[in-house]
Amino acid sequence: MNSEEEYKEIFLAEALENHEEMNRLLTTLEKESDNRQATDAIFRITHTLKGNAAGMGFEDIARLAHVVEDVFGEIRSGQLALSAVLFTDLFKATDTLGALIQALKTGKVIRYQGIKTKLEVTLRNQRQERQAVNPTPTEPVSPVSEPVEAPILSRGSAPLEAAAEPVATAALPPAPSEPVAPPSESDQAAPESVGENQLIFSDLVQVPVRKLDLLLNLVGELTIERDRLMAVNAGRHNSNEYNRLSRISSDLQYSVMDVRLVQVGFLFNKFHRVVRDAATQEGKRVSLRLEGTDTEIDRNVLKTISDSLIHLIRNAVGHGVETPAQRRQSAKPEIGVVTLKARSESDEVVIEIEDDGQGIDCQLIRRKAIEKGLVTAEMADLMGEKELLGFIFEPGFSSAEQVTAISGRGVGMDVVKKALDSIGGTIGMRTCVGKGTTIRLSLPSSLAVKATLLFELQDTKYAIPLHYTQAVVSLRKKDLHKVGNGLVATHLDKMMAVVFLKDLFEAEETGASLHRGYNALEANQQLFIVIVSYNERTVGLVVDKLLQQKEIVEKPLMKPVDHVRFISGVTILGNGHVCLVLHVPAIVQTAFRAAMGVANPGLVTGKEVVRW
Amino acid sequence: MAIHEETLAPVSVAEAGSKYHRRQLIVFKQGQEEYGLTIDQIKEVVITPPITRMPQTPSFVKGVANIRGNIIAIIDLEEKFGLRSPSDEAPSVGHYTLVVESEEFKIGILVKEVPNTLTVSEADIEESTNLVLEGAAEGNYLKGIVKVKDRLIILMDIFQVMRQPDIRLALKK
Repeated sequence: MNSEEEYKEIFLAEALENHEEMNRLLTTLEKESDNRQATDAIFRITHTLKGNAAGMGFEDIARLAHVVEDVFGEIRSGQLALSAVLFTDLFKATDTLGALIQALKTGKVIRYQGIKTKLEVTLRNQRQERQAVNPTPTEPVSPVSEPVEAPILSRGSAPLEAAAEPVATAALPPAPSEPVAPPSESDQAAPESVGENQLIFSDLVQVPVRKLDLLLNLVGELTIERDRLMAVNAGRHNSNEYNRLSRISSDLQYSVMDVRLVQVGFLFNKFHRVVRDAATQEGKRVSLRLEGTDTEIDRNVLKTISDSLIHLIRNAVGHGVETPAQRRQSAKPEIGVVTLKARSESDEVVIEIEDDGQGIDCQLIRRKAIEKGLVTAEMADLMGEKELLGFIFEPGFSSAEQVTAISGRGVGMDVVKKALDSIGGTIGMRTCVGKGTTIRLSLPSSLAVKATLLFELQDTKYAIPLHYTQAVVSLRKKDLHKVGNGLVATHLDKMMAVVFLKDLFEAEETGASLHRGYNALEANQQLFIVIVSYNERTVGLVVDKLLQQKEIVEKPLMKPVDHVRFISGVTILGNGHVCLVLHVPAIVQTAFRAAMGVANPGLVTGKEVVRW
Repeated sequence: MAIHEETLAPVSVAEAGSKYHRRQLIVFKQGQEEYGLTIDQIKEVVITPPITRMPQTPSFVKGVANIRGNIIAIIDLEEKFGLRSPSDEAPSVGHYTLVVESEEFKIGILVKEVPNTLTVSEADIEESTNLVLEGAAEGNYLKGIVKVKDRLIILMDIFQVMRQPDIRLALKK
C-alpha cells in the first residue's frame, strides 16, 4: 500500500470515529443543552476533523466541518442559543459529514452546500442581531470567498428554508433564482439514507498502545525462550530442527514491530504551527520544509522524542535563524528556512533539523566549558570542533546563560539528550558560523531488539549495545597514560579516555581511584578494550574477555534497583541467567570527566537529583 | 515448593472463637533469630536461581535473578543487619529465596532453610511501641514481637526496610 492510501485509511478511521463521537455528543447535548463539556468536545472534534480533512485535501469535509465548528464556537461563547431547529440542522450536518466521509470510499457525490449554507445563515443572522445598531441590508448569502458556489447554494438552500426557523428565512434574500427541484432532493436524500439505515464498519481496528506493548513484550519473551531451547539442544539434533520455529518467531517479531510503525509525517505536520508561533514571537520570518515524511518509525520512539523535536525546532527558529534585518545584512533571503528531514538508514531512522541561520561559535563554547570547570584548558586545546560542540549537551553546561544569548542554543539541550538516551538514540551537531546549524538525531526504528556485544567482567556477563561501539582493540600497559584521575590512550591518532570497567564500578561505591586496574597491570599483559562513543566522546572500556555478538530484548530494571546509573536494563540469556546491559551514556560521561581532570566522578554524579 | 504447616493447636484453637483475629505468618531464620512476615506479602518460595551481581549497589544487594521471567533484586538481610555470627563459615548464600511482593516492587530475600507458616492470634503480637530500641529509625520496620511458647518471632515490615535511608542512598542513581 502506498503512503497516500495509508494516510487516507487512517484519516477515514479517525474521521469515522469523530463522526460517531459527534453523533453521540449531539444526542447528549439535545437532552441537556447546558452541557458545556459536550459543547467543548464537539467544537474540538470538528476542529480536528476540519484540520485533518484540509491536510488531506478533502475540501468538502473541511468546509462543512468548518461551519459546524463556527456554530459551536458561538454556542460555546454563549452568543448562540441551542434551539430545536438548530439541533435538526446540526444533526443533518453531522449526517452529511458522515456521508461525505463515506463518499471518500465509495466515490459517491454528496451535496452538502444546502446544510452548510443554512448553518452559515444562522450564524450570520445571529451576528447581525448582535450588531443591531448597524442594520446593514442583508448581504448575499454566499460567502464571499466562495463565489463559485453561489448557484448550487441557492438551489440547495431554498427548499430547506421553507421548513426552517423564522430567523433563517427572515435573513435570506428572496431566493435569487428559483430552486431546481431534483438536485435538492438528492442533496437531502443521500445523507439521510446513510445516517439512518446503514451501520458502518471501519476496516481499521484501533488498539491501545498498551496492548501492543504487551504483545511486543511477549514476542520478546518468545525469542528468549526460543534461544534458550536452541542453546540447550545445540548439537543434540541436526541444526535444521529449529529452523521453522526460528523463522516463524522472527516473522512474528517483525510483524508486531511493523504494526507499531507510524509515519513521521504525522508528527512533522504539526510543526508548521510550532514554527509559525515561534517565528511570530521573535519577529522573524521562517518557513518550514519537510522531507521524508513517509519514513516509518516505532510509535513509542516518536512519542518519546516529540517534545525534544519541538524544543529543537523552537531553538532553530529562536536562536538559529536571524532577524530579517540581520539576514539582509548578511545577504541572505529574508525568510529563513528550517528543514526537517527524516530517512531510514539500515536499523535506524535519522531525523535532521537544519537551519540556515547564524551557526554556533566553537570558541565561545570552549571558553564557557573551561569557565564552568567541565574541562581543563590544556585538554580543551586538544579537542576538535566536534568534541567542543558536545559540551552543549552536558548537564552542567546548558544552563550557561551567556552562551545561549550570544551564540544560540543551550537551555534544555541536556533534556533533549536524556530523552534520546532513554531510547538508545544519539544526537550530533554540525555547525558553520554564518551558514547554519544541523542537528542530527539517530533513532532506533524499533525498540524491540538491540544488537549487542557480550563481554565478561569478573565472571559476570554484560551486554553493550553495538549502537555505541566503535571498535574492539587490544592494547598493552605502555599504550596507556595517566591523566588526572583517569587514563588515556590513542586510537587512530585520536585521543580517547580509557577506563577499567571494574575500577569504575568500584569507584562509585568506595570512591577508589580509577588507576587501580592500571597499577596492577603487568607490563606486557594484553588488554581487551571495547571502544564506545557517545556525544562525540570516545572511551575505551577495559573488560576481561570478549564474547559473541547477540541480538537481545532489553527489559527495564525493576524497583528497587531501577536507579543504577551504569546499567540501563537487563536481558535473559539462553541459559536463563540475567545479563546486564551497560548504559553507555552514563559510563562515558563519568569516565570522560575522570580523564578530563574533573576531580571525583562520584562527586559529580552525586549532584543529580534523585527520587526513590 | 511446599511450605510446612506448623500446628500450634493450643494457640489457634483456643483463640478461634474469641475476639482476637488470627494471622498467618511466614517464619524464616536469619542468623539465630526467627523473623516473620504476614503471608499476604509473600509471593512464593523458590530455590535460589543464579544471581547476577549488580554494580553500584550495596553489598547486601546480591544482584538480580530471573524468577519466572521476572527480574528480581535479591537481598541478603543477614548481611544488612549484621546477623551473621562470626562463627559462621564462609558466608554461604541462602539456598532458598523468599519472593516478597508489594505494589511498588518485588524483592527476593535469601534464607537458608525452608520457611514455615505459623498461625498466631493477634493477642500474641506485642506492638513494637513497647520495645526499647536503639535508633528511632529501626522502630519503623519492626512491627512487633510474637511470643509463642518459648519462641520469639520478630515481625518485620519488609517494605519499610527497603525504604530505610541508607538503602535508598546506596541504591540511588
